[in-house]
Amino acid sequence: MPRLFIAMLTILLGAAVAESARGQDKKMPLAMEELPCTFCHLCENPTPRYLCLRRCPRTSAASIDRKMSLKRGPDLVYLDELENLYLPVPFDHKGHAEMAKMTEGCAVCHHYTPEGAAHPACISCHEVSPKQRDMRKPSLKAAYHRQCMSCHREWSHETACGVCHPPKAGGAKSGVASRRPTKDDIVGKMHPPIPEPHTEIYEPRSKPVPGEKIIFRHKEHIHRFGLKCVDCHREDSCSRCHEKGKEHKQQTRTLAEHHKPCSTCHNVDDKNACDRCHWKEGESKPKPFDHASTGWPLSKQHVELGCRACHKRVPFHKLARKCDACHGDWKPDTFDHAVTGQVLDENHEEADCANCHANRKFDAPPKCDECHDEDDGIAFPAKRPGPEVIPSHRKNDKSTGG
Amino acid sequence: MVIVNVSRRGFLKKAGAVGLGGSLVGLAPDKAIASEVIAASDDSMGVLVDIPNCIGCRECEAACNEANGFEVPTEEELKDKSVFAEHRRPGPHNHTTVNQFPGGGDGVEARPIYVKANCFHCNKPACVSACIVGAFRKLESGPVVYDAWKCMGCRYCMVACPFGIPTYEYDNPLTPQVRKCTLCSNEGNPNKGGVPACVKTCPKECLTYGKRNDLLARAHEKIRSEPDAYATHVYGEHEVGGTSWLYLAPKGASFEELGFLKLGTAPPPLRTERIQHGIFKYFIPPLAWYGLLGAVMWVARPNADAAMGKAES
Repeated sequence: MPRLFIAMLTILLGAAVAESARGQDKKMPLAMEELPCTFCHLCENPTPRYLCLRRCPRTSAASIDRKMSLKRGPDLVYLDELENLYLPVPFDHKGHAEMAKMTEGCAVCHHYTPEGAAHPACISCHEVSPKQRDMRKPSLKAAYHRQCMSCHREWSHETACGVCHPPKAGGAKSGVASRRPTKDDIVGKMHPPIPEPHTEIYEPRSKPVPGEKIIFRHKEHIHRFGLKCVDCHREDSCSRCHEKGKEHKQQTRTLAEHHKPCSTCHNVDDKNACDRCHWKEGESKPKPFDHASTGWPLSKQHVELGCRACHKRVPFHKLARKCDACHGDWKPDTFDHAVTGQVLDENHEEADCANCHANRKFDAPPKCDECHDEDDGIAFPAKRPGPEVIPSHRKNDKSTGG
Repeated sequence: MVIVNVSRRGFLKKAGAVGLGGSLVGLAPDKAIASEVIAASDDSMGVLVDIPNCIGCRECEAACNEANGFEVPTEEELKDKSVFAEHRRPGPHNHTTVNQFPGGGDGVEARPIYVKANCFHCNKPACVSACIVGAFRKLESGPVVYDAWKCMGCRYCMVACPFGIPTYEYDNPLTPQVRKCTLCSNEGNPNKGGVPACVKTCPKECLTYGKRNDLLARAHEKIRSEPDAYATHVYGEHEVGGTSWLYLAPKGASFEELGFLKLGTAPPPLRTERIQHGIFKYFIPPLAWYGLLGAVMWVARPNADAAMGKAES
């Protein structure tokens, strides 16, 4: 009987030791037994309270937008890792980079860029078939698909492979032979074109005044006033504009958030200025901005210009009424005088602008009396300094108008 | 002379009392059973499903069918979104299905949510418990596997499964089998012993194959690091005593809305087995039964002497 007791005691003890060893095993992190400790921990002896974990690469690319500029980036990138099966995937880098500005910037995709270096290729971290399974890091295939599909399925609702991977003749998937896709194959085909709103009239959901409406001239703000998409569309979802077959939903915003994009130029706190955008049912719509109301009606070529061509600062300020304010760089050899309708003959074409246009005042008639005796009838306006032609911008008017 | 009048009612009363007493001993709550069955092996493998990341491409369905020798849907069929019109359950010729559920909220949140359905590979499977011939087994490595050779076709497993997963080949009258996901551990499966076909093919790696304990740690890490993306509950961590398949839901959506059943943390076999195994504990029912029979025989034994005397007199 004592022998049986000792044997049982030994078994129990053995089981207890095994159990405690198993408990320790459980604390090993996520199938990473083979990794060196320094892969995750910065300090030599991490404790449960002070883990001193390295920052995840996904969050350490804060300075990327400063390092990269849209101009330096490529227009089109071909993802051709699967070229033996499919035609390469044409990726409109420029288009996406522009859209990324509306959300989190370049770091949406380029989430890891080491200090002082160009961003690494996806494949340098995300292996094609990882030798060691790290649950935190997707393989290259998943990294690409996670990046693309999360947004794309929102707008196209299509998840079939062929949408991005055109089948290749003789490849794994049977299909037609086709050439290497270009940008024309993407815009308007793979990507539905976004209809640009001309004028938008909103009815606020929570109406401060019954029947109140708000007008926003979208096209005018973009093309004339020079607003960039990102000025208003910040932190927007892609599907807000891109979703196929669905009217986009207005986002729920507070009054202050609604007014914020406008407040850069409009004084939204001025109670007398509300009627620029808000009006009531039955009343006439607010009129679009007319430059003549500033006392300087725009004429000739100036009408065609965007506001920012002259008004460099935002919000726009009154400019000195001097042509030189903008055209200070006009010189006889850089300015084609024919655009004014007056070709200068060889006696005049070399003359300095200020010789005729006193004090470079271009809006007043030229002074000729420095060289010519006006009474002789050889000076302007009796005689012109060369043949008269149709000004170039009027020519355009005729061709488009006719 | 003793004449005992044993009425039918009296007999049943006594027999019932003895039987109940025996079973009550076994029915006493037994904590030891509970902890023993729920703890999964450290080496038990599983799959973590990241529901918010799933785009409903159904490539997993195609890969599963290919690995199991079923009809593989074509590219055109996979494109067809009309299949989502009705809720599809895994069947004898497709071990996994992807279903679409409406996402709540406005804008981006309104996009549909896709949920893959298949065998959960419970830690304490009801099908294994219900099978009276031992055709179902839970392997140490995680999968719940089926042996067609042992199966007699009673289909108790189909009734027992809380998820309604096992299906029957009604279209095969001569050699019908019970069919369900095997976690690619069945004979003849090209992925046998490795990563399941659905996990291997998922283009976004929404499915992660690994040790169940690692997957749980990863799931909770995801919830911690992306609190805006995930709901805080991991389905399968505790449901029915834990399952090998674990699910992460998008934030704001409850698992019940996504077609998951609200089940307790106790494995269903626990209750039935407690009764079954309890009443047989310490050999009680046979002893009680034979004791009862003996007692009845003893009480109702013919009084030989009296009978003899009656005969003689």
